[in-house]
Amino acid sequence: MNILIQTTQNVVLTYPLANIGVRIAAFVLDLVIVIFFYFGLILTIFGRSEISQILLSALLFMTYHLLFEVFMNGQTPGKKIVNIQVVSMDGTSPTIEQLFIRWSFRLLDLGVSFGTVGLFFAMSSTLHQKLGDLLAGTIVVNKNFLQHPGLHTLIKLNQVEKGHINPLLKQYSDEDMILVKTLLSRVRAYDTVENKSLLRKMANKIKQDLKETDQTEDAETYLNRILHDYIIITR
Amino acid sequence: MTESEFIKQNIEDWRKFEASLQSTNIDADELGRLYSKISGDLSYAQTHYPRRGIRRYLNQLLGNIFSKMSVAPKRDFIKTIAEFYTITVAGIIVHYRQSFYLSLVIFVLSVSVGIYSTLTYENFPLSILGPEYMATTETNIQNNDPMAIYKSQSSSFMFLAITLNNIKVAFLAFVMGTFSMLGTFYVLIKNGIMLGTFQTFFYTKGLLVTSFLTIWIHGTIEISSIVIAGAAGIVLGKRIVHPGTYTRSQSIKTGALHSFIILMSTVPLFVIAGFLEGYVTRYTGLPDIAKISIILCSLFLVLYMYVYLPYRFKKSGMTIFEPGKHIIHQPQVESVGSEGGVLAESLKTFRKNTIFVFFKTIVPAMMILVPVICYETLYSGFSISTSEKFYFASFPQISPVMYFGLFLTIFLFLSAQFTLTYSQEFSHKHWWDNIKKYFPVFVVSSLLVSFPFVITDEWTLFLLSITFPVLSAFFILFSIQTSQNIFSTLQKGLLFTYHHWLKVILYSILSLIMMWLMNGMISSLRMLFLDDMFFWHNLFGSHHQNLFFIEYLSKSVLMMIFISFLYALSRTLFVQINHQKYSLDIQEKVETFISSKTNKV
Repeated sequence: MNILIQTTQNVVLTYPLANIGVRIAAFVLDLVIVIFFYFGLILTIFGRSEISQILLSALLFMTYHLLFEVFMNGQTPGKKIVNIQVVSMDGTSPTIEQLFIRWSFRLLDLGVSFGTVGLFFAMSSTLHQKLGDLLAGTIVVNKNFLQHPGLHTLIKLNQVEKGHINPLLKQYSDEDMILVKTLLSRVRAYDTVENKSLLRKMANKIKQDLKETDQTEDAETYLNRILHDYIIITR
Repeated sequence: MTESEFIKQNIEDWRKFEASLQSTNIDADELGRLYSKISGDLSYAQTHYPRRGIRRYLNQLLGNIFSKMSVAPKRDFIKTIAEFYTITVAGIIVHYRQSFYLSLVIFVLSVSVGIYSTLTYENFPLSILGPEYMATTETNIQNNDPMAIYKSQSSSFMFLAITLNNIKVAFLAFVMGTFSMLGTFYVLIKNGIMLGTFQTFFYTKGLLVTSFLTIWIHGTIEISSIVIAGAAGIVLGKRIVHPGTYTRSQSIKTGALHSFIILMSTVPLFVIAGFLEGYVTRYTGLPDIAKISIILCSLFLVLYMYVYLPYRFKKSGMTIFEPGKHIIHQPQVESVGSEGGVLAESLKTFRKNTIFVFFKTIVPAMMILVPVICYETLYSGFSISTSEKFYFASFPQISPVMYFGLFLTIFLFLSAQFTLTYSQEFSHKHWWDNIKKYFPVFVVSSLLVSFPFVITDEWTLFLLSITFPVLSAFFILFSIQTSQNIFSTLQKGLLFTYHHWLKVILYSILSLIMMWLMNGMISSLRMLFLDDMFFWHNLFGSHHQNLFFIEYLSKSVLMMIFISFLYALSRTLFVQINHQKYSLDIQEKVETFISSKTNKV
């Protein structure tokens, strides 16, 4: 799931949204940190007197998320570890009001309903926003941009030998090849007669277009090879 | 230009940019030049190579630096708080000023009711304030310290307890707004009568000035906060009852946000009131002039925040923001690849469409259900031994009348849902047309859905047994489009269920977990708000009958929500399986590809 954000240069950037699992992980990490602080520091320093216990624990448990998000630019320590961040819908960092509204709806999202309301909204809204996110106009993005292999892989792909590839492949568009790719993934997931016959038809058509008569390869391996060749020859 | 030529042409700049991000001394002008250069490159790549690696690479390069650049300027915390009150809260108060007037009028009226009743009926204070409180206060008056009740506990404990209690009352007034304002009125009237009774009680004892000066030290802020919280509840209720030009769900969303902001603005006031009540009110020996000045200060604070600031806002000519329109949601095939995707997608459909259908069908459904449940409560033989049994279990054996009522409700619900799915828009004409056209199929599937009520009397068992037949009933419904008569529809739907029984069971279990959570939430809400009101009025004469009525009504509403969720789930599952397994969505694309002519390059 991605969100498109327009920069001041009128270029549209694609940000990946943080998925539910990662967000739950951040929540659990935060919880561990809070509990550690509660038992490790506050109880040893201030002792177990009734009032200080109520006041300090309320302060710690209630304001932890708000304060960290305000001063760490939309991140709590838990969020920092898994590298996700709360941002405003236009990609800028959230304002204090937004964080405040988001935080105050934690009561409904996570507190009263034991997380069901938050989970329900985060799973069902288009941009994975929980109730507080929806009302404050914030989203949680994943800052791991590292899924991309990087520049050197692209250069390496440029240097692959193109001699053995059928030049007739250039007639197809990117959309055609994406259709092939979708079909291949469908066949891999559901091995039904309908999917297979579609795949076979596709392979026959491509063979006919490319004037190839070799019948030894089955449709699936053939199309996989075609996909790989297409990427190289159209570079 | 091919991708590799594009890369070759610009690679030097990209490398420089990557390097300058790593190094410590960066030439700002050079970096700015590179930044706009790469913005242009990304724009070019998005047009010419939208599906290639190079676009992703540039996106990543620019995205990293953008997230670092777009840090909002650090703002003054005090200034932000001030803006919250002078602009956000003030704007909302101006927008909903009628609700504030209404809340104030109701409160003042109920105070006068309290005053009148106390003066007229001798036993009235006893029934309102409770015998325990009365006895303590009588003793205190005899001991010549009538306000001693404020000294009975330690100050910090009182501060915490009172603040939390006040916030709880305010939240109650707010949340009760969801019952279309009635609940909020209840809280306002109750508190108003209590206040009126309280003051007049001291007046009859000849202690008006003493009690007034003591109580209103914290009361000024506390009472105004209750009125404000009541107004927040009315805002929410109004938004539910009168959506105006918006759809119901949109209207509720905006209303929830606005009323929540009103409520949040009172939290500091509650803290102040709690502090005053805990630490100051107890010094009943304080000179009168000090008490009066505290009261005047609090009055000034409240008037400044909730009268002067909105007045200033209104004079400045600004207005508040309202959101856009609602669209009917259909399952998106692209996003339902995995099992988690199906659940998420069906939740999305459920949220967007069900609430819509729910409000369309709730009036006819309640017209059927309420009389039927009343009948069941009054005339059927039921056996409830203890109230503790009521959390999850015990949905006693039902009579044919009740069964018929449930069947009709389910029938209405299914046909409405079906109309929404297949007509793209919902109108009563479409609904009626669909009922006429597919009447036998609707009857069969409604029978299947309501069947578990006959065979089981345990709610948990009922939930367990409902899922499988319900899902198959829905699959039958969805097969209407591709078949000619009712028998082939039935056959196709049942075969579909049979072929995918493993998936059906998996999703049944998942939706059961969801519903157990929901059941818990509805039960707790019911116990918090509804039970008290019913017992107070004693609608059906006996305790058991009241309990029985509430139980039946809430379980029926839960059943409707559950069936709607199952509908959304089975719809998504149906679409997903058909598309993934039989490639229905790309069949047409493949045909056009195959029939297209060969291009010579």
